[in-house]
Amino acid sequence: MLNTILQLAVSGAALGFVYALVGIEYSLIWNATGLLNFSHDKIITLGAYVAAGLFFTKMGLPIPVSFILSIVVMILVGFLMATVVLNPLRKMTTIFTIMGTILFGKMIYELIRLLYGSAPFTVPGLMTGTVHIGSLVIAKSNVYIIVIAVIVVAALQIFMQTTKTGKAMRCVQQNKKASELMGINVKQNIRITAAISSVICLIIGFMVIPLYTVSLSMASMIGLKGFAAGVVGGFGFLPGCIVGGIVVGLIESASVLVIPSVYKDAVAFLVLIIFLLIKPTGILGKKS
Amino acid sequence: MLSIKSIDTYYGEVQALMDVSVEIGEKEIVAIIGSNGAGKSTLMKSIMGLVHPAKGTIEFKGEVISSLNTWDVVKKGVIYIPEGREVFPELSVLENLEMGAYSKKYSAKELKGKLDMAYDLFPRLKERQKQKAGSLSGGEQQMLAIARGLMSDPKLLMCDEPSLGLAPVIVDEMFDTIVRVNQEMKIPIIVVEQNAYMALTISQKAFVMENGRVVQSGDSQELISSPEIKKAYLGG
Ligand SMILES: Nc1ncnc2c1ncn2[C@@H]1O[C@H](COP(=O)(O)OP(=O)(O)OP(=O)(O)O)[C@@H](O)[C@H]1O
Ligand SMILES: [Mg+2]
Repeated sequence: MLNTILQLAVSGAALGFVYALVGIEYSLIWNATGLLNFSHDKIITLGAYVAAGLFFTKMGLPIPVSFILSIVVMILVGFLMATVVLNPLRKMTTIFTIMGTILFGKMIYELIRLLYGSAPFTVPGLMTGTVHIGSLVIAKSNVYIIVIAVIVVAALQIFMQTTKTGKAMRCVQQNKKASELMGINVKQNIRITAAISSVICLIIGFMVIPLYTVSLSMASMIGLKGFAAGVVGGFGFLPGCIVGGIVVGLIESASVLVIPSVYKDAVAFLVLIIFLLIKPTGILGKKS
Repeated sequence: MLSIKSIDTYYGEVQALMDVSVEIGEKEIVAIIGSNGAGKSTLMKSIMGLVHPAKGTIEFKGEVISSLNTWDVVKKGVIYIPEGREVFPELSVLENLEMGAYSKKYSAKELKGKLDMAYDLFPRLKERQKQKAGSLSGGEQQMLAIARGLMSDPKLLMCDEPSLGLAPVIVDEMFDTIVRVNQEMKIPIIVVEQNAYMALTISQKAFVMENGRVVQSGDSQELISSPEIKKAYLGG
């Protein structure tokens, strides 16, 4: 029993970190532009296809090389998104901004479908295997996910707190007019934010390949649950995404002890609804 | 140094500036006064590229800047301290000051020197340097806004209603500081003010705005004793 609980805790934490990164990836865009990026799950999917489909499977490059080349591609995708969607739309009415990001996602989706078809595929040997600790058996993919997520979170934090561009990102979040008056090129800063966000999407997409395989719908569930994680933790607040992600991941994972696992996916949304009713500002959220 | 040549500025369909021309010379303090909605802030925003004039040109040191982006105007050394302070509430006082130097590539030592200068002007900011700017009082935030504006070594400083919402003692301090900055840094300063008396007292030259136009301009001392100005802006 104890082993089962520990195993569920580890897989719950791993899922939780995935949700946390999703929360962070769209909160970055929300904070910088005030836009909800409805294309984010498509960008996650694109990341997985570019890394696993294009560079690894089609071109036969080693995994690390594929990954690094994919970073370059995803930075360009972020720049493109900021230039054609986020910067032009952020001063418009909500309905345009929603449609804009949805259509951008739709274009990515159709592009992937055209290039790769709709059959899912796997990457043999990617983060497979198990580690044994005593009688406890843990999937290596879970360990990878937790380690990578922690590194991403730490790196992002250091970037935002210490670099000039990172500090400027925090300024742009807080007051765009004052940022411009400091000499910050706000459009450029939003392009950089979008690039960081889409690189995080790539990392998410890549990490979950062992869990969900590479498919057109691989990210739709984590996209929604990551959104839930952000709300549960405190919307637009990066540490809140981490707390919310882990809470949602652990609850979801533990739920199989009491309810049939087919209902597992509903648990995250149940948690989301409970929080919206009881504490809409989230666990760490500030009153606004 | 700054020469604004008959500009028209619009917000959508609404015209906020009509044929406005203003000249700012080296090292002088220039007051811009006028009642609410006269277009004073719009004139500042037009200089900064926050809005772009539809007609006319703005030249700074002989260079046309009226079509530049705000951040590029800042790089030329034109610094605007907007009305309403606009500090970064979630950043500490120190971080706010550092952001004031964003457009510059200072060495650690130069940055330190600039910070010392800011703290010398406003010792209260030094005591509160670790505190979040959002938790400062209104007057302290105004000090921070001015200090932040000075961090980038401006060639021209523009203060929009620096006295708004401040206690009378602090208002005097604020104007003293503006005069001190003008003399020590030897830079021209534009002061936009509702407090016309104070603005005319510390300035050498003044422009009076009404309904989007400059309706009067000249020597501040003369304006202060002109019956029209007395009646309209100095309460009799
Ligand atoms: N963002 C805006 N959109 C539309 N109209 C605006 C905007 N900002 C200012 N205006 C209009 O332009 C005119 C001039 O406004 P401005 O802010 O320049 O006045 P001001 O002289 O600075 O007034 P105050 O002393 O109250 O600050 C006003 O009629 C105002 O309603
Ligand atoms: Mg104004």
